[in-house]
Amino acid sequence: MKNSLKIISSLCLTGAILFSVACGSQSNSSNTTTSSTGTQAATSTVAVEKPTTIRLLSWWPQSQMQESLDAFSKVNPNITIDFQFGQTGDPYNNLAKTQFAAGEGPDVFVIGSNWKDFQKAGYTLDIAGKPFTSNFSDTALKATNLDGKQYGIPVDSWFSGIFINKDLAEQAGVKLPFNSLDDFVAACDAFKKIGVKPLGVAGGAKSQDVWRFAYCEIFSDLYNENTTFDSDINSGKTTFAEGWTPALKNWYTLVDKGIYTSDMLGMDVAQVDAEFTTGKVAMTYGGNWSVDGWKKANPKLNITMIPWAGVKPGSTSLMAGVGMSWSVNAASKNIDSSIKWLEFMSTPEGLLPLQKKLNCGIFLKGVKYDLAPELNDALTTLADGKGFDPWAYWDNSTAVQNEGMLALQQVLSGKMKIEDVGAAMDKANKSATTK
Amino acid sequence: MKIKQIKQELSYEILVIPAVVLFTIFSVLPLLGGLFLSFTDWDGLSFNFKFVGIENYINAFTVSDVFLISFEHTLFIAAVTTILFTILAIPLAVILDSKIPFTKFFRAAFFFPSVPSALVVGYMWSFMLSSSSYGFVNTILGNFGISPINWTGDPTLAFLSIIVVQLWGWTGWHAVIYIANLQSIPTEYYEAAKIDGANIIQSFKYVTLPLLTPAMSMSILFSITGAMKIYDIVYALTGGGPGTSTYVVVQAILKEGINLGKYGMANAASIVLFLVILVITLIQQKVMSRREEGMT
Amino acid sequence: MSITKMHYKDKKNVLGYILTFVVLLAVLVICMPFYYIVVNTFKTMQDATFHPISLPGRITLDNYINALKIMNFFRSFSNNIIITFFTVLFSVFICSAAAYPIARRKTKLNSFLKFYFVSGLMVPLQAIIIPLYLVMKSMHFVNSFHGIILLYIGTGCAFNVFLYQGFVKTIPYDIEESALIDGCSPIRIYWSIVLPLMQPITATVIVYQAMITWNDFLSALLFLQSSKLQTMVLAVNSNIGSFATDWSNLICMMVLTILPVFIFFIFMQKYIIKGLTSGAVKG
Repeated sequence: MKNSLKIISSLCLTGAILFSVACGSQSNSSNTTTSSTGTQAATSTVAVEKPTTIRLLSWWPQSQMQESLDAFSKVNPNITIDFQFGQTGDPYNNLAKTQFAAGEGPDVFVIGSNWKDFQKAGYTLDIAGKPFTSNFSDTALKATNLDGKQYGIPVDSWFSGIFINKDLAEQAGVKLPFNSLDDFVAACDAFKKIGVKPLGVAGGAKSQDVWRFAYCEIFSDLYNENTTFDSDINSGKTTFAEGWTPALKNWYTLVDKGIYTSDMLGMDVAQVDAEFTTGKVAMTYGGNWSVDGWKKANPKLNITMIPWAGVKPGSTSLMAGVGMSWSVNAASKNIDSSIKWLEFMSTPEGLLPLQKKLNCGIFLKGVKYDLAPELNDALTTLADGKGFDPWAYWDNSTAVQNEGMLALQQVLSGKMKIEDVGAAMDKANKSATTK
Repeated sequence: MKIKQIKQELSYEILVIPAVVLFTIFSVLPLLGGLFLSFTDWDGLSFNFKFVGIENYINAFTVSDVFLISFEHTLFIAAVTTILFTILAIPLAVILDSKIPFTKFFRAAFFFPSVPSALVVGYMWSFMLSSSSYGFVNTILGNFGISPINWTGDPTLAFLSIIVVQLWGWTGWHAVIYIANLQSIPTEYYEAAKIDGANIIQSFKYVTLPLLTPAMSMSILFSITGAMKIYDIVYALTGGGPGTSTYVVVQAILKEGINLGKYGMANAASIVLFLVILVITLIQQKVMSRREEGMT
Repeated sequence: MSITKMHYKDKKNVLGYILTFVVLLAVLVICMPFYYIVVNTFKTMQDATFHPISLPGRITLDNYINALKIMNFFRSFSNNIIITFFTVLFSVFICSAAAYPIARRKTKLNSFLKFYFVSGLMVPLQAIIIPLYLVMKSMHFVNSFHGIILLYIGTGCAFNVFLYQGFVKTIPYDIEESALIDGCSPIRIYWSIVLPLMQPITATVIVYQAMITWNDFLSALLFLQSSKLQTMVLAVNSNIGSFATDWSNLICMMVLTILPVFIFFIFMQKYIIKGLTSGAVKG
């Protein structure tokens, strides 16, 4: 049920993205217009009088947030923000959860796909009905809402897929986009023929990108047709072993063919980025957030994002979802000031600087924005509702997701059979309730 | 008389108080807290909990094998690095204490890798050992016609990488302890050995080695306690991967305990870790002190 | 004086040259990683990617200029200095004071205290961060310099007391004894006689404690939450993300973090062995 909601929401937001792309961003000018005056008015409702300091915990580094932070302190001169950073993934979660467990959570923090951990624990303040929430599209709001409780405001809509070097594709005679897994395999062969490494994946345990295309295969083969799989997992009607194994086996053919290799386990994002931006590698995994950094490293880079294609011709998919949401700590001593931040991040002034850096979609009603042209080829797939992030809906998301990542690394290093991945995830799902 | 004696002792013990207080608050209290929580079903949310006996201890080693695996890995790293430190640092110390030129510079150079933070060292080496065609180590090997090696991505090699980086970082540090000890061995011992007709190897074996026992005791103590608590360097170098193949105990505790919310099991594992280190160290100290006694 | 010294008198030349050469080679290998890191900070990203080993074709300082700005160098540097200075200062007095009676007075209490402090080496602090956090919180020590300084002093006691008490045993007792007969209090004796004599091991403690404090990551991450209190290792960490790592800036930050300790180490390095020689290994 949640999953279908997800599809609707991504449909709506990509509609908005397409709209903005269609009206003018093709010209590559950054004519970001803030159309709605209504949202701006919402900013200055109740002024917080006493000077306060709120602590913000984020996995986007301060350098990326600086513009928004500066703009905030102009509007709210009485509120000082202490910005704390935690690296995405385990480090962030360890930091946030340690602070919360000790009763010293940050005033405002971001959460992603493991929002259920925080929501269930009662760490998040219910902000349902606050006036600023109406700035967001209803479907996006529903994605950050559980049982009527609004745990945060949705910040970014992210999407990711295969990035391909167009110059190399032309050289190798590779036609884009891919229509099926066979096309992808053929392209890899063509790249090998011209002496270019076809695929770069940061599979090191710190970046854990091994699972990403494996999951894409699952989306293409399974999720495109089965819309109830995740709710069936939660209710115990089905298992990963049952549902995922066929698709995982399809992905594993890439390992057999030497496209996915075990040396990917020795690479991290920085190294893969270096190979991709210098044209050593033709394809890699990336998302809307990757473009900015790559273009900075090599301004001449001619790339595009395309969706993954499954075994069945035409079964394309992307990873996509609501990225992070800003939430307020329910036990914060500065709830009023903390809500001011959320209020601010519900306006174009707060969100657009970040949007520009990340190249992401946002959910503000009636606000236009630009996306990097490198992302255009992926947008139709998004608009078709074929962007998935099922882990956000699993009850034991953190444990299951963790197990999946570990298992696929084990598979690639030859320590586990692909058939056993699903069972391992089922086991993690079951034992997640043991404290 | 007795009261006077106690009074005198107490006038000494005043000096201990600040250190005892701070040490108790920041090292012992958290440990006792962990011990207490390890017998409860505390979930990190509120302080409503009940005692569950040793359930957490049983669960930690039966529900999943991650703690068991990580204990295995950690003990392996501790054993191998301790042995290698001893084997490598003693000859190094002997050389650096000899009359070759530039000893001061050499000592500094060997010691220096222990100076930067483990996190920085780990990230530095993860760049260098990358399997990428631009990886530093692989580029050098490539010059000798050796094809790229998957240093941190292969389960066995990942272990090797951790151990090599540890050796790189700390052999010089351990050598310094031995150098200090070497400098306290009186020259007469060597002269006597020489008169008895001992050659260089014999005098090393019968004079130097036994007299190095105090340094060995200290070096092994730091090596074991350090290796059992290893985390930063592994996290930055391999991230515990591939998969769980280089998971160490502290990482497993952080991951299972905090990230996956299994606080009870994680607290139990922390206490087991402490006890394991304690027992190993006690045995080691006992063996070493017997050796020391046998010497004199 | 050691074994090799003795035998050099006979075969000084050949063996000496070979050994020097071997050691020199080993030093070169040991220093490689530092060469690699430093040489790449002066290259452009492209240059560093394609030619990781060679010297920079064209030296650029842009990476450093960026890194200084991103890591807010002067703030994080001075934070590090403040924290390290006070931690080291108080550690020296508190730990040497504690070690004195422990090493000098042979009572049951003192042999227990010796074990009590050594057991601190075995506490896996990173594995009990939640109880530690609760302690820090209840003392209102989170997010303050004095809090983290006290934490470092407390956790550093295990190692420092160990070093100091080993050293005290090597100090001849006669001077203290005569002072005691003259009616000096133990505190007075510690302060005016023993502490000055401890100077070599104090230097060693200063070096180690400074290095540990400067390099600490986890405690700083947890307990220095405000960006105003950020230390250099935290700044390096802030720029490693799985989304985007600006590699060339990152290695500059690494160099900038290591450089101050390196300079400090150069000045202090002769004391590292001196202190240990004068007694710690006899502990």
